Amino acid sequence: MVYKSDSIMEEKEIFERICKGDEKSLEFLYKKYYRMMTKMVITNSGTEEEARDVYQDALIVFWQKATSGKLVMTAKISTYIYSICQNLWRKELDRKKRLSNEEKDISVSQDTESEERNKIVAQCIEQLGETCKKVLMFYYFEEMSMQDIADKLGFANTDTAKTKKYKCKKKLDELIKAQYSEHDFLD
Amino acid sequence: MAVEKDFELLDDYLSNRLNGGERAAFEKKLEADSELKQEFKVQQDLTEGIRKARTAELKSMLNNIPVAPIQGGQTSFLVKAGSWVVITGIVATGLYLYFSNDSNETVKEPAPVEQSDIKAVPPAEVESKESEIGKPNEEPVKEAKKAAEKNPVETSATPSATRKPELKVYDPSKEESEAAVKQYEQEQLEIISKAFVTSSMEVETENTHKKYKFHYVFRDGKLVLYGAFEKHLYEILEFISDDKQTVVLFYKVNYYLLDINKSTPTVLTPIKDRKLLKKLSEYRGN
Repeated sequence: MVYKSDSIMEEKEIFERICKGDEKSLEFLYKKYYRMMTKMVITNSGTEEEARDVYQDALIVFWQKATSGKLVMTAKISTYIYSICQNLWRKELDRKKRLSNEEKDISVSQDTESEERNKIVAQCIEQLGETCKKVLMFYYFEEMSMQDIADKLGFANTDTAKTKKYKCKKKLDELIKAQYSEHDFLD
Repeated sequence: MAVEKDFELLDDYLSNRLNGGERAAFEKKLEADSELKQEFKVQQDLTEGIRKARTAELKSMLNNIPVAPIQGGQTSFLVKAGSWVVITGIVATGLYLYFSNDSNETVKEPAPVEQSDIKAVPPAEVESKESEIGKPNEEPVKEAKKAAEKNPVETSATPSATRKPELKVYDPSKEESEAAVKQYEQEQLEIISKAFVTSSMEVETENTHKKYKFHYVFRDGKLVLYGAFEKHLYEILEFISDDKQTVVLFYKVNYYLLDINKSTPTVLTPIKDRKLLKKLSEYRGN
């Protein structure tokens, strides 16, 4: 028989750390549930690569929900991630099925323009400094509070974080608009 | 016409910082204002771009985390099967040579030296006792000593002429390894002091192994404990701090540090460092 430390405490602690944007806890979860989650995809006609991809996507969804403070855990972390994995894998299987039925009704010209815009935005983001990138990522992806951003990036207070975010966003905005203007993407 | 406040609202809308009512009101405004709508498209690209970049960054981070491949089990089975074939081959060859030597003996009457050489081969498996303190670099010395103790007849039967001169060997590794163990334990204390404790590790026990009686190994992210662990309760404590992880086993009255990098069975050694023991006791609430 094995007795362990209080597992509820452990879950709570990890979840709290994830909510604060602690990437080490994310790594820990990734390793902890790797077998369990990837096995689900593999036993449902997926390859290991697909399984890893689905698991990573699911974990990122969980991470995003947790860091944004919009997730209230009512079940175990593993149950939550497992259900995201199942949904993502079902979607992927549907997509594959559709592709095999040759339902390709995507407008090619629309796709090309969209791809071009994505490329421009990605290039502009690359031109930002590391701190700017982090501030914007934490604000728009993790949807962290200004307090959490300030804590994570070592800013003196929330006002500094706000100013930094404002300036970084403005810079990116200008870079993108200049490129869009050149490519006639601005109507 | 859109005003500064509308652009702020747009930013809040795209970063999901508006509540249900505010969102609906903003969407209504968006439909009616073409300037705001145009700005919305650009800002949407911008925020989506940032999200994609962050997703790619996180995926790259996860991809760099080492994990054991799922289909690894099959490989290890093949390796095991292969090993058995090799071992069987060696045993068969050994038996063949042994008996063929015996049959030669009757004809040629070989010198007794050769016979004692064959007998003096120590058994392949040397059982380790629970109380032993395992230090990898001491093993060969210990095993040699044990083999000598176990086979006093065979050793004494070896003619002195064939015996290699006995040398008293000073083993500096013993002192070095003791110091290394001490240092290792102190390092772990440092990690534990600023870590958070969990107990998520998958554990498997094995009590049938002939060689490993009180050992451990980390295999495929799982901890395997060799020995009669079903007889007493045991506890696994995991400490996570920054990029470091320390695993401790509590069994009966002792604590044992488990090195997660050990991929070969290693004998369990009780922790000696008093500060570390105190800290662990505190964590366990004793």
